[in-house]
Amino acid sequence: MRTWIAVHLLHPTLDTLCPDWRMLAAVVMDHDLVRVCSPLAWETGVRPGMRAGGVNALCPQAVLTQYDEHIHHSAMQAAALALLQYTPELALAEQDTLLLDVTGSLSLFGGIRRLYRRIQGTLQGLCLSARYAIAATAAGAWLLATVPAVATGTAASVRVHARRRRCLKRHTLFRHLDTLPANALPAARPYGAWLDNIGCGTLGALRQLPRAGLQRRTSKQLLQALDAAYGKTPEIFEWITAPLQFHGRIELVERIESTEAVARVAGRLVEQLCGWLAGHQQAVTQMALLLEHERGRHARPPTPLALAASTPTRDPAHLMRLLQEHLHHLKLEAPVVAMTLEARRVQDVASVPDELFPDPGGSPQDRQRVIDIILARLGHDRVLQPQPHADHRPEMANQWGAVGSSRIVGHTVQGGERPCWLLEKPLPLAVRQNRPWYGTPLRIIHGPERIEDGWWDGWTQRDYFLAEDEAGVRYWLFQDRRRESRWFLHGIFG
Amino acid sequence: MMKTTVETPGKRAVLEAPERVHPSLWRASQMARAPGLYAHTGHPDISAQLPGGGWPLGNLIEVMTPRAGIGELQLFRPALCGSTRAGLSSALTGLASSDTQPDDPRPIVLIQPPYVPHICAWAQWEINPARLLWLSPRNSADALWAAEHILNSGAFAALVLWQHALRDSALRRLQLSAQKGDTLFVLVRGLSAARQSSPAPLRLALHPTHAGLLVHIIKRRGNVSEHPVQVALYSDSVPSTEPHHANMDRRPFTAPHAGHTVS
Repeated sequence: MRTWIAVHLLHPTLDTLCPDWRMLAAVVMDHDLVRVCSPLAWETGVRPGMRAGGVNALCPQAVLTQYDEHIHHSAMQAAALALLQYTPELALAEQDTLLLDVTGSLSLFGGIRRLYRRIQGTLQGLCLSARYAIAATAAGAWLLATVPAVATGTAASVRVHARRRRCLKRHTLFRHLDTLPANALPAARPYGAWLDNIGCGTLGALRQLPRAGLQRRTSKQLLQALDAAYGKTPEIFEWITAPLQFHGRIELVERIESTEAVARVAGRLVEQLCGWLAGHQQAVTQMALLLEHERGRHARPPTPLALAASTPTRDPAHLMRLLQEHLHHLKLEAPVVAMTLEARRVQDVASVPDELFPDPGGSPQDRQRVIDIILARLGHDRVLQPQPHADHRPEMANQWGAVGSSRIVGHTVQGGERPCWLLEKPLPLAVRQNRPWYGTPLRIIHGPERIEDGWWDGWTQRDYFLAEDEAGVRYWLFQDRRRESRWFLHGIFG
Repeated sequence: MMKTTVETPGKRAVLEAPERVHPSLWRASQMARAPGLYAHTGHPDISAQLPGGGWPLGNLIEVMTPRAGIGELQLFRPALCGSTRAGLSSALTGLASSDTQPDDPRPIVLIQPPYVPHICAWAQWEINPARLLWLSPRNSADALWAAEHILNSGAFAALVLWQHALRDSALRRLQLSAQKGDTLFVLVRGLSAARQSSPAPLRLALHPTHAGLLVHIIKRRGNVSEHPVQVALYSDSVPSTEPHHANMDRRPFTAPHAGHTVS
């Protein structure tokens, strides 16, 4: 038995053009006719199909926006791309509904409940409101998701309706489908009046009519749709495939001036990117977010934000973490009007199977992710790794470089005992009673160890000693033979 | 009037061996033997004074020094060198073993060290320099953020953090983060911090002495340690010119461990 999740987008246009439609009387106009309206507008009497004049008379405070097919289509595309994270078997159905065959993804995402919650979270991240249904057949899931709940208003009834849309077992699905109105099936709508007249109001009643007579009086499509919903005929779909190039761009309705808002909008692009990557079995190592500023007189070039991951990833949570750390530093110099996300470098990855007994310390990839996030916050010049040079002069040998600049770690030259701390610059020491002095007189324990090198750039000629002060702390001193044998402190054994 | 007797044989047995009731119970005169992971200290004298016989992993170890560079890193050198995981099993069984596995691939992180770390020294300690990471954040808020993040991930072998002024809430957060993993976490602070209270389960004050360190255990899980421990850090101890009288009455002071050693 298969498991399908249907996602019915309620108002993709309203969600894009007027994100706070729940609090406003918002109306979307299509060629001077109302196409969609928000619940508050509905309460004042606005109905789809009304003219603009009627809306103005009934609800003068309504926010009117123009329907744009391109915006509607791109919202559907964004949802489809983001949902490709969960299954490759994703189809677009009528009435802004996406059908996901998640049978093969259940164990990967830890069960239907978790998967369902993740899908809900993804669409909430995309700022799209949707109605969800789980069923054993695609047509059944579609019916459950698209039929609006009977508006009784109470929160409890809304919850009951939401629960009725989730049925994993076949007989539960049949029971719930039987209660749906007959005109929920698009093929039954032309015969709505006739069905009403014969008292056949629900799908259950429709199912009990004799098949031959029903087909003669209605159409073949009605029977086929009914059979598909109840799982009696196989269903065929054309799966959505991810486009070859990823181009994520969001034109904002309002200008954004805070980095938190940038992060929220960029989250929508990141979800789409991860879906696209999953669709191509790829992962990203470098990507860039371009924040576009106002055009015209105050035009300025877009602010680029480069994100780098040292191990290929397509985990939206990790990418968001990286992005947030980058945005943490960013000072927006001008309001943002649009955002583009580009995947600069992607590579094929095989998904790694989960280990039966995972290593408690985490995998090297986990470690790299932590380092990536630290790099994003502190900056590349503040996270250093050793890059020793094979040189006898301690200050030349002790080189530290940015993490990831080059993975090669050089060799160290063998010598005498070395202190674990070096001073950035050797500190000249005073001499009292013929002994070097650093707070207290220093007593030489060991030495000298002569280091003579670098005749090609400012010849180093030093005699190194190991010394101890009166408290017992050990120091690494040298006597510079080129500068009248003066004493310098160079390291501490700490 | 009837006199109630508290000293029933059953109660006496519980009081004598409270660890039978729960493994994390101990008497105030004993040292704790709480379950957990411990790393070899490499210094038998100090191991004897620590609950569990080693540095507790996944816990905040607070080290207070009069100034930087007196030998605090040398004290933890055996723990940093040896794989912490190899150390734990032997510490639990109470057997000292030297067969540590040298290549734990997990990195060692140094946050805001006082001086430039010298790579050659780490190479001489037989620690692969590729495991080292040196973080020098701009301010202490960033340093604490990085430390917390590293501890939460549990993907690092050791973390040494140098900080001076820390609020109690910051210390508590660090201890909570440390408990999530098995990272050897050492916080180095100034000696003035010894007077403050701290949620760290192990606090040490270090003082330099000839060829080593004098370790005062300010706080541990167990009874109060009254006598400092002398730790020799440098093997090439040259006979000192001045006489050394200090360690006349340094004897092991604590009662044996609570619980039973597995032999």
